[in-house]
Amino acid sequence: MTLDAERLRSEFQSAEGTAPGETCPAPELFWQLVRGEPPARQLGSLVRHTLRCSACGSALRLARDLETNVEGPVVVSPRPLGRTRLWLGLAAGLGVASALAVLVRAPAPSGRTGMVLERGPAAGAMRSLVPAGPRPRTGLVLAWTPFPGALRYVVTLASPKLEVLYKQAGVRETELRVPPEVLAKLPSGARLVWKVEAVLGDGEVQESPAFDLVLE
Amino acid sequence: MNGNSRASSRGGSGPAEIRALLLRAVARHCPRELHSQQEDLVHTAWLRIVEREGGEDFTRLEPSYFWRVAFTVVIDEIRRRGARATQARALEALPVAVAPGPDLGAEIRDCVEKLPASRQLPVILHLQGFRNIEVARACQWTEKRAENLVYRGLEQLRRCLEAKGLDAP
Repeated sequence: MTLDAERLRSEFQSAEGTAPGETCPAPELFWQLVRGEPPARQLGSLVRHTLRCSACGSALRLARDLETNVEGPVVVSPRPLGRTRLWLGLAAGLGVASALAVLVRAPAPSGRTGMVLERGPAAGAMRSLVPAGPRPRTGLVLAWTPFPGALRYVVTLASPKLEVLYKQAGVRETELRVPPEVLAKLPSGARLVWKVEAVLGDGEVQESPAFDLVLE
Repeated sequence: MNGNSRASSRGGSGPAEIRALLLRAVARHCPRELHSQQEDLVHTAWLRIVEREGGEDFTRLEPSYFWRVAFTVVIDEIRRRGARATQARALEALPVAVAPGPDLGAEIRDCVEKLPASRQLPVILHLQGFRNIEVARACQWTEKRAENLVYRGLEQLRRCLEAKGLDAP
């Protein structure tokens, strides 16, 4: 058997693996690596981690592909990024504009049938309990299955163009009534997207898939 | 190239272009089980960007900001899903499909583990798809040095695989 260069890469990249006992590096570090900006002392451990952890190998290849396919190098913004910014913002009471978060204590039940289409990668966690079919714009209630250990939720409702229409943080129930004025100017048949983030006791955030919704 | 000229060279990258490129990149590099959710994955990433900005005007943001946040959230989702799949397999004790013949990927990794440190890094990057000039940039070496170390590392890797009966010259 002869392994040409392409086969060697392909076999290497398709191997599944994890790195037990190692914490996966922040995605930001892979972004820096492909730009030649990783902290020198972290370079070795960062690259070696991708040898054992297939998910981080995917992350590294994704970062490389993005960097090499853009028209020119990407500038790293000095803006603070990451969840910290988001959750500090929520804690400061910025929850009115664009997202919903909810906290729950009960275990998540299994999925139900007849619900709306779920979009997003997190199916199997929180699920929409909004019935299928067009929903009325007055009295619209977003409901979801609880997430174990959640203290509160953040809920976000957005247009298909991802313009945030309504956002509510600090929700303690597993449902939220959307104010009619938020939906008043939307056309009949408008498709909306919504999602829920569960904030856990240790500050970790678990995100639901994005759910579809159609207005009457 | 300084930061300003870099910025101007990317001035045409709007959210739509970035989203399209992200979609293609995710399609190429996401784990196989995620392929059916490529678009949803990017969609969710964008929703999170919007959420962070709280409906502010996107045009004031550097394109690099979109790139970096979108990349980060996509990777978060890949990891989350991978962890769930691993956990589900463990809980359900599903039988693991055994492919006939050697696990080439595992054998290649084993051989890479045995390379000397100086060659291990460039070989890993090469196997992850990096060209020599990209290896050089990541490691902050000259391209010549990267090329040399990749070449010698791959030679050593092939010898290791040959010894395992997995690669014939």
